[in-house]
Amino acid sequence: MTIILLQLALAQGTNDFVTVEGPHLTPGDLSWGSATVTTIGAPAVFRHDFFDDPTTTYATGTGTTTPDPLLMVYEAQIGAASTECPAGEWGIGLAFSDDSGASWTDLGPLLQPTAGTYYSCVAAHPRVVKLVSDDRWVIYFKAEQDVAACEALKSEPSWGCDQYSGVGRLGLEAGISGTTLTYTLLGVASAPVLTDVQQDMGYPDVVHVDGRYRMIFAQNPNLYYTDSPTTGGFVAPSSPVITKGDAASGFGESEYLSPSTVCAAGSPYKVFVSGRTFMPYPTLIDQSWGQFTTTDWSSYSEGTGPYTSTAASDPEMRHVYAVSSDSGAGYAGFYSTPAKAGGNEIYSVSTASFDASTIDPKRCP
Amino acid sequence: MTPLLLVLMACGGGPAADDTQAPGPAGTTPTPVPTTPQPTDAPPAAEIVPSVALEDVRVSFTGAGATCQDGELQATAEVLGGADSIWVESYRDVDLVESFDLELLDADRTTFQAAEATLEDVDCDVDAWVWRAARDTAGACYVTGPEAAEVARYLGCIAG
Repeated sequence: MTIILLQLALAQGTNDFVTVEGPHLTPGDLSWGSATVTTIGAPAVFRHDFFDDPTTTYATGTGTTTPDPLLMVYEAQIGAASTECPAGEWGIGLAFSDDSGASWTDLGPLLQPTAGTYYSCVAAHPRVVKLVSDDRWVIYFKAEQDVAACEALKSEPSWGCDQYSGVGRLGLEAGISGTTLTYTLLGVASAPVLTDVQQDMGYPDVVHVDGRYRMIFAQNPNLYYTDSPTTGGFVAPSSPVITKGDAASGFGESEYLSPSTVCAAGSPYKVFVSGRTFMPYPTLIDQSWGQFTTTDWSSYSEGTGPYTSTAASDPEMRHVYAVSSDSGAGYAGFYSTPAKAGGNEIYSVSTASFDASTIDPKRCP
Repeated sequence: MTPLLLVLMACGGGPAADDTQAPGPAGTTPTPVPTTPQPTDAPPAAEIVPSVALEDVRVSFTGAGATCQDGELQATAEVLGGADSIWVESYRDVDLVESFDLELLDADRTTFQAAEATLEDVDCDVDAWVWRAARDTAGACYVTGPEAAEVARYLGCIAG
């Protein structure tokens, strides 16, 4: 499936990450109707456990002869920065792969900015958790709203009128109609599931472990943790769990961002993170991708890594989403990176043992 | 990659046999052309469905949690599919002990629907909490707690 183009620096031993042939998706690949997409990013890839489902006519009973469909939710910019929407207008789309990620077909937008909602400007940074059944997922996203329009409402919404309205969520359900797989939007939550966030909040990454949805998100320059027994009802924490400069190896001196947790291998859980070092701000001298581990969700220590570093001439990996395969036997990171023609494109890195046909869900025992 | 094209090919779509069958030598029997779709492992095409009627969405739990200490039970549950009622049952071994109704919190039943309850004088010595939701004749159950797997197996529910 993959052709190795580049052996990343700092990659040694069994934890090698190598760049996979790409790009997987570019703005030109998208089918968003009248909306013009100028850039894409923040890919979150998950597997639809389809061929083990005995209720479908396509069931093989083994799940081995044909790979399960892969899905990718991604963010797309469809409007430039404006007075109403200072960060521009962003929506969330869905792409599909029937060949274990070798090629992707865009299915179009899942969610676009909608007037009068908490995501009237931005629905971005999507992250995915499988629900109890194999055919349903919850997709979390970062939201921003039009402040002036919010303040013009007759009554202020429960989440307030700050630009950074919080974290939203939507449900997605797979089905089949004739010979077509369907992915149905089950409804966007009418209010954020996490509020009281601050400027530069993002990347609400969630796994379900031990009966709780466990969210780690970035709020410049640190990473925060909160949890809930349901997909909503998160409470904003007062203090971070990973603070800039925590890595013993020295990456992320100025900030950590884009956390992405994998849980299929069990405890200690791996929290992949990006780290930036400015010298001085805004001169970026390094952006690395490394990892912390935790056993109790309150204390974290740096694990193996960092795996990549722009200071060592590795690609700039933005909005990295980590997945594991075969119960943690292999790992991959899907990310966006600037394209020569402008905008961002989506690529991935993976370990040699990564198998996209066995991508683990982010719902763990 | 065009999934739709793959499906059409896999399912025997395309021109009729009369249009495509090359004439064979005299006296030979033309090879039959399948006219019915053949079994295939090929994935079908895919599409987004932007909305669906609530009655077409099955009820299922998306999460639940119970904290029970000194006789006080705090219960929280959440479903997709729009429930008319949600309640939780306490189990010891595989025997029902008590049942408690939860208050539905969300007016918008088309989204994730939460319910909760805070109750006093509850026997907290339980092995599992069995969460149940009902809408018309449909329902769902979900089990949490230290013996969730065993109780879920016994009741035919899903363990959390």
